[in-house]
Amino acid sequence: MKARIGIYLLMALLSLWLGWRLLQGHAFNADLFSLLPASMRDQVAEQAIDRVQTEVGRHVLIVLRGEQRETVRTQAGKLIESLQQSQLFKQIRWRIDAEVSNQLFTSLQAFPASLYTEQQLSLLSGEDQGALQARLARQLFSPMAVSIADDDAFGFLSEAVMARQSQNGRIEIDDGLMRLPNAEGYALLIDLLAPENFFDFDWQRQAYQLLQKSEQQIESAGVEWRATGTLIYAAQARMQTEADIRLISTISLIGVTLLLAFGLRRFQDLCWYLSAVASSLLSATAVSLLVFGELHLITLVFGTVLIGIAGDYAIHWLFHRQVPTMANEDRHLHQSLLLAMLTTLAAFLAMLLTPFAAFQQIAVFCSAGLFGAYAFVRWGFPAAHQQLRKAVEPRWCKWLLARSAQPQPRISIILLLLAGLAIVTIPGWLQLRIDDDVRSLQQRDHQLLQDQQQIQQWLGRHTEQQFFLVQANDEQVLLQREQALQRQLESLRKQQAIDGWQALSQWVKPTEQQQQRQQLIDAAFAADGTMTQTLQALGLSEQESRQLMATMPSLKLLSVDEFLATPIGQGMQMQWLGEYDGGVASIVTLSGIHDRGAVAALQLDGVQFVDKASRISERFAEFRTTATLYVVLALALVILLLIWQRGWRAALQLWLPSVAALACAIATLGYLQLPFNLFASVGLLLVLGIGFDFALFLSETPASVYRLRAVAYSAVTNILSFGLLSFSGLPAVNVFGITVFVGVSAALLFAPSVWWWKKA
Amino acid sequence: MKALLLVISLCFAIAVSAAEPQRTAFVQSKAIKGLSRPLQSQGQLVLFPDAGLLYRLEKPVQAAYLMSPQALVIEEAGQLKTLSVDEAPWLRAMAELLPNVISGNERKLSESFVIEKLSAEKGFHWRCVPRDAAFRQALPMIEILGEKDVEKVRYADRNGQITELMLQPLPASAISTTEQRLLDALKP
Repeated sequence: MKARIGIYLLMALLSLWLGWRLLQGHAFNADLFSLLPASMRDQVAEQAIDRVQTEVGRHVLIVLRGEQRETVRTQAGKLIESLQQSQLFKQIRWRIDAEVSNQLFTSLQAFPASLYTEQQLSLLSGEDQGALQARLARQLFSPMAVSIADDDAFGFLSEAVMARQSQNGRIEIDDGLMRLPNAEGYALLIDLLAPENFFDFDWQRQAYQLLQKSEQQIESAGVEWRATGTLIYAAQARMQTEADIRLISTISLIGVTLLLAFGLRRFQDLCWYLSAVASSLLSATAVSLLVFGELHLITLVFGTVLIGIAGDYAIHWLFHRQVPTMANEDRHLHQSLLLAMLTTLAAFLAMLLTPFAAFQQIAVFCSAGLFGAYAFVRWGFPAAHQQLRKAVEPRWCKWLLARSAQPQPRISIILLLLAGLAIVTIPGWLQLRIDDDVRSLQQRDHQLLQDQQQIQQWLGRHTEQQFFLVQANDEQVLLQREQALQRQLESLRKQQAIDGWQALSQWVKPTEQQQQRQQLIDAAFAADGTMTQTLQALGLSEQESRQLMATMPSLKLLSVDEFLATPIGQGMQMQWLGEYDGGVASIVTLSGIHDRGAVAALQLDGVQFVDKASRISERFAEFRTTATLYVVLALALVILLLIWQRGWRAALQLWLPSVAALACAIATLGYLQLPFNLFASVGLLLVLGIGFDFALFLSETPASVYRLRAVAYSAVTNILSFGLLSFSGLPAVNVFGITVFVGVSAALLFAPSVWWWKKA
Repeated sequence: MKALLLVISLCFAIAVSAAEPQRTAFVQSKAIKGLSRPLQSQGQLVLFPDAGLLYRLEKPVQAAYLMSPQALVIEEAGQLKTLSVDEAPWLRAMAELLPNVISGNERKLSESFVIEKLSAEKGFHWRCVPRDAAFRQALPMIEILGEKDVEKVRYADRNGQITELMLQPLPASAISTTEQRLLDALKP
């Protein structure tokens, strides 16, 4: 009695705490990448990955396109107004003020030694006097020499800055707004910067709802809306997951409840069953939130299988109650349930050993749920023997029991059935496709992908999540290494392996190089330098030449810190990781990778190609191989143990149904063209565990109605729970669900075959 | 019959003149910050209705700049070079602006400029201020003067440097081989 009050109190406390925790918010997370393991051993590389993921992921790009310039601009204005009012975004970039544009050049005026292009320096060196003369004539006499920057009489600085900026995208400023000239009609770009916690549920929901509402308003005004960004993908994935959870858990609960209402035929028993499931889900959610601080939605999707598994203890208790028993038989039941709970718990806890946060969370969630259900049944339920009821003996049980008593079929028929099974499954195995790419686990909406591609095409750039990490002992060596990398990247660009890149050393040259360049510029602008000579050749007097050159600002050397303080540098803060462990590190981002192999093959001192998705995919492949090997080893171990314990005949009797179930599950993946990945191989482990239990239970003698019913109901509830996962829109859940659903169903179908062997 | 011949001759003349570019001689005077006197240059502006505007500099050096909304063809020191709009983003604006300025196309100019009509003894005097703030930063104002055609264009850049173009229409003539070479370079 004390134990029962204790368990009720514990559940009440857990409910109160969970309610309070959910009211605090930030309890759920939808970022799939947050569940993935660290891909690099190097801490700096992990920091770089976080930086790139966060910075690239925080941007939402919106393009408004229409035929009429004024309509598009008006709609853009209205959109900006509502975005600003919402205060949801940290920054809304849509207007480039003339003053900002002016500051951009002014801040860089003193650094020609770092900024002039190689072509400009070649002109100043005087190697080709004609070319320099033509260049100066263009500046001084043609209409294309409108000066953009102050004190840039020869236009070299404007030209150098614009040459670098034009590499980074095709944007024009049209009356202060960012126009995409490559788009048909009139298109404006709006760049939203999300706050750093952009995976927060509440923020994401509000931001996504606002964008959807804005989209409807804009499109109703006849202006096309396109948007791309991690926020949109994440919000859609979250909605998909939430819909999955709602659908799967509702159908699962209703299905299981109806099934048991039919089987138990007593409202009170049904309430006991539902209270066991509720205590399981309550314990699972509360303990997981205590351990991890937040729960990923994918854990909840996988966790819905608890409705099926955790309810098994209640099912066994409820069916056991329908058979006249004594107190000592209750103890026997509790021992069996404890054993069953411990073996399943061990299987789930084994998942904790994997380095995947996803499996760790699922393991803790399911283990806590299983223990919660067991504890509630063990200490929260009344003693079974105190409430004797007449056992129900359905016709199907009697029919099956009669089957089990019949003589076994001939061995030739068994072999024929096995051959038939091979004929049915082998074509499926042959079509099996292995795919460990982590990117394929994310469901991506076709329309969103189209929008992303279209915006990238109009914009002419797309910063990839893959990048180069450059490390060195000091800033100077780092810049030299970046330059060496840039030379390699240039040849890759010519081979069309990449579209472009962005590096700090495009703007900041190593000091030694800046000094050499400064000497060259000083010599060109000296009294007898090439500039003076060329200006005089164009008709200017010596004094006029000197006057003109005197307008140039005095030269200074540019450091990384100084550059990062300029308006352009502020937009490139992501590239600089700064000091670490006595060294410095930077990131060279890439745009448009068309040949990943060629990019990954680059080998330079202090430079490494960082591709988190590929590294994780490689680890997925390693763990898929290991998990598959575990299945094979488990099969081998089980058969050896069974032969040792029961002899080869009984061993085969118990072993073959599970092997056949695994064969069917694998073949189904092949037939359905679904990838065989880590989730499928983990599913196979579960098929082996659950399927083997069916055969084991049915092989127990004597066969009884109670045992048959308990096995059948527990199997059907499991099949229902796992089967519903097959309908999930998330590829990982879908593959897992189908593997377990087909495997467990096949195991249940083949389990009665144990009777054929029994009576031989 | 004579009337028919006249009509045919007229049509032929119109067709020929449509194919021929509009030519204007210019004398440019550019006041540059730091210089005590403006820099003088001379040349020819050739407007190809479907292709773009050619700015041919004849003095003090010879150079040619053919601007179209898609690309810029430069001929300097005997070398031909083509720049796409992506390489020179300001080019599209210049290529759209200059033909309208030279031809005094008020309707087109008013799309991008606020035109203030100043009093003039003869003809017209427009002060055009760019509507686009960024453009205004680079080119605060253009003045266009003339009697029938545009005769004078004056503009100031952000540094206060003033450029003045004196224009003189030239008789129409066929496209030269040099011009054709530049036009060919525009083709992708």
